[in-house]
Amino acid sequence: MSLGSRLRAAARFARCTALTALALAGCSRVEEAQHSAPLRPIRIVPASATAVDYAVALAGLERIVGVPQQAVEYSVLHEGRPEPGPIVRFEAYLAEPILALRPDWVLIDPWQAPETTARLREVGVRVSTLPSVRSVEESIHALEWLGGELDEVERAAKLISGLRARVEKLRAASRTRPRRRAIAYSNFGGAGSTAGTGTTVDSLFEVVGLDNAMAVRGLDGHGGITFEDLLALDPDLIVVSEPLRMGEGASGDRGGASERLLRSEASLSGLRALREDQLVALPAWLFATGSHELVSAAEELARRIDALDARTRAASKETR
Amino acid sequence: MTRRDVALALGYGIALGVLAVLSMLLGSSSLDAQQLFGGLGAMLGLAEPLERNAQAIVELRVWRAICTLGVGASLALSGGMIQGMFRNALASPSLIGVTGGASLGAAFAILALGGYAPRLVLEGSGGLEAFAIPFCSFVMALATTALVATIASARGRASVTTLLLVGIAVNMCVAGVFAAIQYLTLEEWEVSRAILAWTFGTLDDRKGLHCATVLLALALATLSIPFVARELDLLKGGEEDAESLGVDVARTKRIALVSASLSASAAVAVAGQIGFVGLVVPHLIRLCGAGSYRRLLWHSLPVGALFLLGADVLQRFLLGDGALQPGVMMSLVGGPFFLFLLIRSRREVSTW
Amino acid sequence: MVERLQARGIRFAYAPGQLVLDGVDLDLSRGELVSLVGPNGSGKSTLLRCLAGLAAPLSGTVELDGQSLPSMSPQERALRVAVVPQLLPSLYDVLVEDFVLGGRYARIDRWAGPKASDREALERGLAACDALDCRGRAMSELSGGQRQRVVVARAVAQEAPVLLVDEPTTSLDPEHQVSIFELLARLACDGRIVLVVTHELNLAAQFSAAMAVLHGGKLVARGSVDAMMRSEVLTPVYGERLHFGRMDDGRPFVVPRARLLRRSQG
Repeated sequence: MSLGSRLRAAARFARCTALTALALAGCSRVEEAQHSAPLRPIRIVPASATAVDYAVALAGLERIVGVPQQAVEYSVLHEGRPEPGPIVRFEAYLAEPILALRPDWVLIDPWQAPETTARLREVGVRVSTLPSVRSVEESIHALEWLGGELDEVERAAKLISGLRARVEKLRAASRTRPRRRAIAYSNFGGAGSTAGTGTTVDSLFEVVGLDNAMAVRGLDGHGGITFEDLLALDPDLIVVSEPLRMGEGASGDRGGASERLLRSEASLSGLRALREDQLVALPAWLFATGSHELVSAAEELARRIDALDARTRAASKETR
Repeated sequence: MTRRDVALALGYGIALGVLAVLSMLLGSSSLDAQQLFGGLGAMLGLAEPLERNAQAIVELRVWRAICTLGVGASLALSGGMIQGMFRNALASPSLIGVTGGASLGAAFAILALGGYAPRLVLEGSGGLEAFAIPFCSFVMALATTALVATIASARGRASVTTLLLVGIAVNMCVAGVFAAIQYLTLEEWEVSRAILAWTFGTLDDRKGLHCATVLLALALATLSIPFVARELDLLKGGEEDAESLGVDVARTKRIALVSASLSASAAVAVAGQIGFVGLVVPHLIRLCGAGSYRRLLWHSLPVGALFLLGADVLQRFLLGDGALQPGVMMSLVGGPFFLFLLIRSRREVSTW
Repeated sequence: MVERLQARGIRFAYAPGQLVLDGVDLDLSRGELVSLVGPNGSGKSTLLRCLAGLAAPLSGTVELDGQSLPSMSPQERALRVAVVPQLLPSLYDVLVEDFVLGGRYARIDRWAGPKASDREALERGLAACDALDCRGRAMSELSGGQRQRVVVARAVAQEAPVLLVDEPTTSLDPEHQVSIFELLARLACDGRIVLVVTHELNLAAQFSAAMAVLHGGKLVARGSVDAMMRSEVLTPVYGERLHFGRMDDGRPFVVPRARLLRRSQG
C-alpha cells in the first residue's frame, strides 16, 4: 500500500467518522420526534438518486412526492421509465423545498448536508440515512434494512430474492466467459480517474467475472490514472460511461468524452483493448449507481460484453 | 555575458538535464535507464523504437518532463513580471485573473464534455477533445486578464492600484460563477469530480500540443524580457520617477501584462492550478542576491523550471507514483517553505 | 544649448473645480538657480511636476526654447529635464551604481547596455555630489544625507540642461543642507536651468539668483533675493510671525518668532 492510498484511506476514515458522529449527534436529539411519525410513510422524499432507486423499488412511485432534479438522469427514473409523472423536482437538498413537499419521510445518502437533516428533524420530519454502499451485497443489505424502515418487509424480501437470483445467474454466466483484466476509466480532458477495491465498480466487475486491474495493482477506492498506468497495465477491457445526456447533439454511436478521448489519443493506440475494440460504454446512470440497481448495471455490462464477443466471433469467422 | 554568466548557464543546464532524466526515470510503471535512453534515441531517430507501449510510455514521460520545465519557467517568469509591475513582492498572476479565468474556462469545457452542450465543443472537434479544456481555459484566462486591464484603464491610464482593485473585483465575479457551477454540479458525480480534479492540476498525460502551447507562450514572454527588465527596475522608484527618467511607463506595463498573462495562462491552462511557483521563485532569486529585474527575469526561467521539476521528482521519489497532484504538493510544501523564507529574512517584509 | 524654460498660464486641478494652480507664469533661464518658495499646499510640487511634463495641466503651456514639453515622449523629455523627487521608496535590492545609472536610461541602448560614457557620467555624478564612498552599497543601507546626495547624483548623471529639484534638504543636517545647495548653485553656474522647491528660505536666499513665491496656486512675486526677502512680500504669504534681519555680510535672513508668553494674572 503506497503512502498515497494510505493517505486517501485515512481521509476516508476521517470523513466517515465525522459523518457518523454527526449522524449520531442528530439522532440522539430526535428520538421523541420519531414516535409521532406514522409507521408506514405515505409522503416520501428520496433526496438523492440512490435514494430514489430504493424508494421506487420498495414504496412505488405513488408514495413519492418529490425527487431531486439530478435523479432524473442518475436514477431508475432515467429516460422516463417509469414515468415520474406529477412528482415535484427540486434542485438541491435544502430544508425549504423539501418541507414544502410536506414529507413524512425523507431518505438521504450519508454524504448529504447534515445541516439540512438537522433542520428537517427539528420540525419533526423523519429522516433516514442510507448506509454507504460499496458492493452489490451491501446494496442488498441496504434494501433489507430499508424494508424494515418502510414497513415493507415482505416486499423487500421478494425483491431481495429476485436480486439474488439475478446475481446468481450473472455469476453462472460469467464462468462461461474467459477471464479478463478490466479497467473503469473516465476522463473529461483534465485527468483520468478509475476505481479500485471497495468501490461499486469493483463489485460490478466481480459479479460479471472481470478482474479489476487497478484493484489488483493495489488501488483502494477511487483514484487518478495516467496514460502511463493504462499502457503499463494494458487491460483486456476498458469500461467507460456513456454521455450523461444523449440529446440530439450526441448520437449513440459517438460515445462519451472518455471513450472519444481514449480513441483519439495517439499514445494509447497500442493498447490491446483499443486495438481489439474491447471497450464497453455503460449508461451513465448505471455507471454511477449506488443502489441495488447495481444488479441491472451488471446485467447491462454482461449484455454488452457478450455483444462484443459475438461481434468478435463473427469477425473471425468472416476472416476465416 | 561575463564568464560568471557562462558558468551559471552551464550549471543551470547540467542541473536541468540531471533532474529531467531523474524525472523521466520515475513513474508509475517500471522503466530502466537502458529502456529510457533507447526510447529517447528512437524519438530522435537514432535507435530502433521499443515495444509499442513501452515506447509510448517513454514519450509520455518526455512530454511530462518538458511540460513541467515549461510550466515552471512560465509561472516563475510571469510572477517576476507581475511583481515588478505591481512593485509588490506578494503579487502573482492570479491577481489579474489568470487562475480564476482558467478555472472557469476549464469548468465550461468540462460541462460541455460532460454532456451539457455537446454541440458547442464536441461537434467537429476532430479528435481534439483532449485539448478542449486547455483551449477553453487558455482563452478564458486571457479574456479575464483583458477584461481586468480594459476596465482598469477605462478612464485614462491605469494605475497599478486600480488594476489591483479591478483584478480583485473581477476575480470575485469569476470565482462566483465557478462556485455556482461547482454547486449546481455537486451531485453530478462525474462532472463535479472532473472539475475538482482540474483544480488540483496535473502534469501527467501531457503531449506535444500541450508542450507546444506552453513553450510558444513562454518564448513570446521571454522575448519581451529585454523590453521590460530595465524599465521594471526603474519602476521600483515609482511610476512618476520612472517616467521622469524617460521610461514609457504605459508601454512597459502593457508589455509586462501581456507577456505575464500569456505565459501564465498557457501554463495554467495546460497543467491546471499550480500556485506558488510564480510567487516564491522570484523571492528565491532575490534572496540569492539577484534583485534587479535584469537578472531576476532571466534567472526565473531556469530556477522556475528546476523548482517545479525538483518538487515533482522529490514527491515521486518520496511518495511513489503520482501520489499527489503538483498543485496540491506545491501548496503543501510551498506554504511552509514560504513561511520559512519570511521568518529568515525579516528585512524583506518591510519592502511591502 | 537650452536657454529658457517658459510656463504660461498653468492651471491644474487634482479634482474638478479645485484649482491647485491658477494661471501660473514662470520663466527660468540658463545659469541661474531659482528657488520656488511658498507655504504648505501652495502648489509648489505640483508646479514642478507640470514643468517636468509629469503632470498634464488643464490649460497653459510649458515650452523649452519654444518646444512644448508635454508633447514630447518620456525619453525626449528625460534628455532635457532631470527631476530630483522629494520622496522615493526605500529601494531594497538597488545598488547605488544601478540607481545612478538609472539617470542614463534615456541614453543607454537597450541591447548594448551602458557604454564607457555612461560609466563616466556615473562617476562624475557621484563625485560632484561627494558620494563616491556610497558605491557598492544598496540604497536602503545609506544614511539620509548620503541617500539625498545619491539622488541628486542621479540627476547630475542624467546630464540634462534643466534640473528640477523638489525639497532636497528635508531630513538633512545643516552641514548637508548647505552642501546640497552649494552643489545646485554650482550646477546652475555650469550653464543649467535649475529650479529648487524649498521651505528653507534662508538657504534659498543665500544660494539662489532669484526667488519665486507661490501662494494659493498663484505666483505672487518673483525677483531678486533682496527684493523677495521683505516683509511686504513674505508676510502676506507666511503670516505675521516672521522676523527679518541681515547677516554680518549684509545678506537677508528670516526667522520665525515665538509669540511672547505672558504669565496670566491671578
